[in-house]
Amino acid sequence: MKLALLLKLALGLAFSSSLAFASTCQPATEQVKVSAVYPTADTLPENLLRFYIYFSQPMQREDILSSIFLADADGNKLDGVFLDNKFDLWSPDNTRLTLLFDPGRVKTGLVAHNAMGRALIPGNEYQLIVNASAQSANGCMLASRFVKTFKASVADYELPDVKQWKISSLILGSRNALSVELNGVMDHVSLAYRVRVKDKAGETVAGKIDLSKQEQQWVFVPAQPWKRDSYRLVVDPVLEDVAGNRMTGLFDQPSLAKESTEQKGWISIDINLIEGEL
Amino acid sequence: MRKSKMLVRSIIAALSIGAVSLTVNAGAIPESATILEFAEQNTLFVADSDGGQIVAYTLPKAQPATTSASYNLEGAGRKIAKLLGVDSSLISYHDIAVHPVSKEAYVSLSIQKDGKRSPVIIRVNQAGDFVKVNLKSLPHSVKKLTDTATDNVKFWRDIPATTLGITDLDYVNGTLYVSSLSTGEFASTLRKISYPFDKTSTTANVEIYHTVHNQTETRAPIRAMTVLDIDGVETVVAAYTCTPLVTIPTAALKDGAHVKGKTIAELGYGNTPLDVINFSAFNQQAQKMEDFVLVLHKERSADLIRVSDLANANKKEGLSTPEMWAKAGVATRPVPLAGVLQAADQDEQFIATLKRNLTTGDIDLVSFRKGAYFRLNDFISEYNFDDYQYMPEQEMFRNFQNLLKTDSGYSDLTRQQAKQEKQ
Repeated sequence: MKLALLLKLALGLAFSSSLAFASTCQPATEQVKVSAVYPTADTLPENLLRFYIYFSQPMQREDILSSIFLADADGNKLDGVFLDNKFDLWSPDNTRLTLLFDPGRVKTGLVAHNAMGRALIPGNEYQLIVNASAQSANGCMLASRFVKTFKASVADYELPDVKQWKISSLILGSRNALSVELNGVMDHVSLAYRVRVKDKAGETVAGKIDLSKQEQQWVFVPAQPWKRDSYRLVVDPVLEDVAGNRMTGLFDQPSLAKESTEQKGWISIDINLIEGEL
Repeated sequence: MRKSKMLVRSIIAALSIGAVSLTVNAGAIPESATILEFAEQNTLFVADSDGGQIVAYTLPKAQPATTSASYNLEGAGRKIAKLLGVDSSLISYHDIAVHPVSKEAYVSLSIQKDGKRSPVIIRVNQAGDFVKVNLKSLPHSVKKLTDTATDNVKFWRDIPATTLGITDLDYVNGTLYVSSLSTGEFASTLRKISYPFDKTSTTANVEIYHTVHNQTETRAPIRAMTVLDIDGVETVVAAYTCTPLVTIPTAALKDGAHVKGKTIAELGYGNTPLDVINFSAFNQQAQKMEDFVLVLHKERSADLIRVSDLANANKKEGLSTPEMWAKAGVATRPVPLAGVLQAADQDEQFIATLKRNLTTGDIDLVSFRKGAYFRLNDFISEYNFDDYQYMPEQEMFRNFQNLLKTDSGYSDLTRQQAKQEKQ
């Protein structure tokens, strides 16, 4: 243990930092790390719109893109992949970074797309790399470099479509989980904020949302047993899949020829309630 | 000890919940101070983009300005850096606003130091007295723009709220218009917020036809906008990157609405609009006051547009065919405001600007005379030579140049007509 600590210290010194720096960023158990990356799947469409990177501690907002990059299978850095503009897409608590693929390259028909093509080519393998140089708000570097390896697949041009979702039944008097099989991989923030269960009175049912099958299944466990009520699954039409497609239209909508559908408030779907065992 | 800390924390938490609509006297500093906008009198709105909120500060009562005087503060950036005790390379400038009563300029900036970014607002008058505004001392109220689930649903992991990166503010008749970009999902919205703040706000999504991209866009954020009366209809005039100019009647901005903006001009590819302002100015040809919209660009020359031309374009169908390389739609007059980053309507005679001095790299805080849109002291020409003689038929030039010399602080260089000088 002590040896490991010494080693880390020595490494820290050898790389870039001062002794003071290393000592304020101890102990190792509290060192900042990447705690999750969404989407979680290891095969992602070539028109993927964004990654979300979660850090275990608040981070410094500035210059984060100097520590994060996309690389090919051999680890060679690919340039011009993520949008680097004046908006920094951090959560208010500085723990989640939205990493946006340059929309000009994702969308077809734009100058950037025509000149450079998409960053992801179907069939190829890539690495999303967060270098240890990413600094926390306290000035501490990551405990180690983070790598997510994934493979690119063909573009996702399927709209989220609630008619294709498979919604399980509820059992009266139980707290059985409601599961919704989605048509495709949805954006995890959308799944957190844009889907709810409501009762007949229109009140949101309290409970916990879980995601499984790599954001292709939405699971809801109610806080209280299901009552004799008319439950509904309600969905905000701005819900998006991982390519930014909405029910109202594709992210990559090349011309006015196909106008986006008008949004008319939340979509409501009845949920089947049964008595006794399934 | 720990208990008392907890108590303090919960008091702070309670206070911050209460701060949604109440004016509180002891103030926290916002996380960032980006866009500035004055309401009537002494209310200054500050967009805290990083904190996803707007803070309305009540400034002390100000003395009305007695004269209309231009700002000639070349090298203002160096002075501000000295005042703040930091290297000017650590400062990034965001916006300028002019106090409607005192005509003092307010400048928002941030200092990037030791990995931390801290917001600062500077107040300055035409004499060049720079003062750091003590935000903590000012009464203020806060409007949160956080898109958070308020219901009793828990998530599989901690999902932090999504804030809105605020791209511009405009205040008209008791309503604050806020264009923003969701920092989570990257979606653009246009909000209406009434002031004094309450718990309500109206959020609409705007869809536009993008002339260079030849497609409908719903996500591209409004980069800069202004709200004005066009033929009796209150209208948002908004500029997008690469650079469509779009109108949206404010009445269409209903909560949850999906609004189509009308693309009335294409101001050119490969460009980011920096600011859009509107003001009245005296039209010399027509010998009357006239309303204008000024669009400042990062890569292109600024565009001055007569509101009457905007109104005519707005009566027609919007642009719906691609325009890759040229301008299209409403006629604009290119004006020589290269390097101007932000502008504010100062008074009847001037616009006040923050300008990147392209020679020194410093930040200048300078006014431009409406109608002229250039500063004579930026140029050396034939007229500057001592032995140059103004002839009687050049009265218009001489008078105009004398006016511009006085504007920029060189009244000692004004010239008389040749004949008189010989006397």
